[in-house]
Amino acid sequence: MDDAQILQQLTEIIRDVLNDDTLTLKPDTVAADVPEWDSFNHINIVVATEAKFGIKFKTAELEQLRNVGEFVALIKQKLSQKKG
Amino acid sequence: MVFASYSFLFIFLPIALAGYYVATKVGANFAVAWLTLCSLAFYACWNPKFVILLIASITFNFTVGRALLARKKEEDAPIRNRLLVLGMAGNLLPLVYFKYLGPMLSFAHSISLISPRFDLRVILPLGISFFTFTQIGYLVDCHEGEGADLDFVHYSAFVTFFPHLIAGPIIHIREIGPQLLDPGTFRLRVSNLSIGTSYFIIGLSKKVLLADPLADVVGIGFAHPGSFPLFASWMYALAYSMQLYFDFSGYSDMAIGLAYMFGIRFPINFDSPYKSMNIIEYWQRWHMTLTRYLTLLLYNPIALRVSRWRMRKGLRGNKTPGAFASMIVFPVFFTFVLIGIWHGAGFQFLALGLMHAVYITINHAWRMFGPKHVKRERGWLETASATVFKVLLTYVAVVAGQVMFRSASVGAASQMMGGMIGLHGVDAVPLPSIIMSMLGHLGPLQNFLTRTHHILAASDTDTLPGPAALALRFLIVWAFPNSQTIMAKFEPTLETIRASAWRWLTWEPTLRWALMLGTLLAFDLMSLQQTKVFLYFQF
Repeated sequence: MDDAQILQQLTEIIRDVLNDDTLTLKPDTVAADVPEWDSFNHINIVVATEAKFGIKFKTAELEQLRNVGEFVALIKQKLSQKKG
Repeated sequence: MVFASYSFLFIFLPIALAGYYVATKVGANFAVAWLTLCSLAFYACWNPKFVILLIASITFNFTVGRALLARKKEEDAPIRNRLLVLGMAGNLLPLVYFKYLGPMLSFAHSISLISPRFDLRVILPLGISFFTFTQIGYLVDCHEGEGADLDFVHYSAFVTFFPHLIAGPIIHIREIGPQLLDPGTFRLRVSNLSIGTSYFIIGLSKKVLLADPLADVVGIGFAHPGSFPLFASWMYALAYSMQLYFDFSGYSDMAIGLAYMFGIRFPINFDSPYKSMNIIEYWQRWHMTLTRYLTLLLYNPIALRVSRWRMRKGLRGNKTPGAFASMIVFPVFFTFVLIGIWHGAGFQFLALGLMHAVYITINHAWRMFGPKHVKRERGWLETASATVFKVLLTYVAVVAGQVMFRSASVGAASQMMGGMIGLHGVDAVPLPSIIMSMLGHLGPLQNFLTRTHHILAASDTDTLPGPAALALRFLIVWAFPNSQTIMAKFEPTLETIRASAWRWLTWEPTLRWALMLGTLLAFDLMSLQQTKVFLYFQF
């Protein structure tokens, strides 16, 4: 799966969690840009992402994410680990 | 020694900077060692005995951290868990002894749980809550195999670096470690000095010119919590709210400025919290590094575990009462009770934590179960009034919490809050005298104001905080850009901040700014003798 596909799936997950069908995400979007994206919804997004892609994050990995692009990169890395 | 003192500004800081300059010429490792040495001296100025405690704490945590990092393999997980428990206990035991044991014992005695009366008078080592938390965070990182691999001197510099040692910001190894390991950090640059000094002066002015002048009057108000009518009670509560904000955010600005003089970037700790439009946002903007710390260490792990468990059980849907209780109420109360008692052993701190836990829960409940937010065009009047309403509602909730926080006990706090809802009578609206004289032309209104004042005024108006002085502070808090926005152009903090739209309030290395900040500094120095200890030094 390439970055664009991951970003598209991630956007769907986040739209679903935040109940906002008009939301668009770019790699440089940060949580602060999206009003509803608080610590609680962040957990929901993470767990929904884990379920969708069949991966599991470490808490420390999640702390380091700065923007959507880095989230996509982390998902990609986890997916390749799963294969390998 | 506090940052706002002659001995710090004219003896400690110049020596620290001069020595740093020499040390950087010898090598980066010498510079790191010099910073550690200065920081220990800084701590020793307050109480030399506790330097031993500080060094013991650093040695202990460094050793446990090393042991954790040496066992990164999957099969070592049980040993890692045991090491982490040992590390946590080693950190929490001294904290409990110094901070909580005395009050807990006297409480146990007061409810006749234990008969002997222990008179345990321990002095609280300055900053113990801060350096304990910083190091527990480090151990948790090492446990996950993520802690930066620092040697003992670098680790000591990370923990003790004097700008943050006593009252934060609570820094994270992953943001400071790489800076300490980069040899390029250790050069004394003129640009760092001028940007750091400017940031420092902004913080110093907040502390000396805006927070400290309110200290005495706040002290009087909260010493007699039951004796003030409606408006007077509010004036004291608001004065404290302003004092606390300018004191603590001023301290944080000074810490950021000092660190930057030595080439280190700190995270911001305040982001105009009183502009928040809801209580969740407030916690993202007030004492941000504490919120961040507890979110990472407590809230996230608990909430993640609960939601994964729900996911496995097939309990989908986030909007059921069960989901609300397990995913919001439980982690929120747990985290906020800890935020409360982190400040001290008194019941008022527990009550503060519970109040905010209730606020946050209501906020989440409203988001989830309240009316759906519909996106549509709004006129400016509608937008403006909605904003004002939200900001004021949030702020009033915050002030109620701060009254609890400042009071000597829960009882005293409820007396004060009683005054604020008019249980101790209603007094005249406190207005600046200039407005009162203008109202003279409106006979009946002024008569009314004076009459109510004569009938009901129980307070001595001379000790009331001046309404004009408070109004000035509200203007600064609500209408002006904050420190990091003013300094944004040169990125002296870890976050990227958008610069203010007010060009004339965006810092530049120009003569105009030098004059403006120089004038402020002159006023600061003249008022320095009346300076008060930072409010957060007691935690």
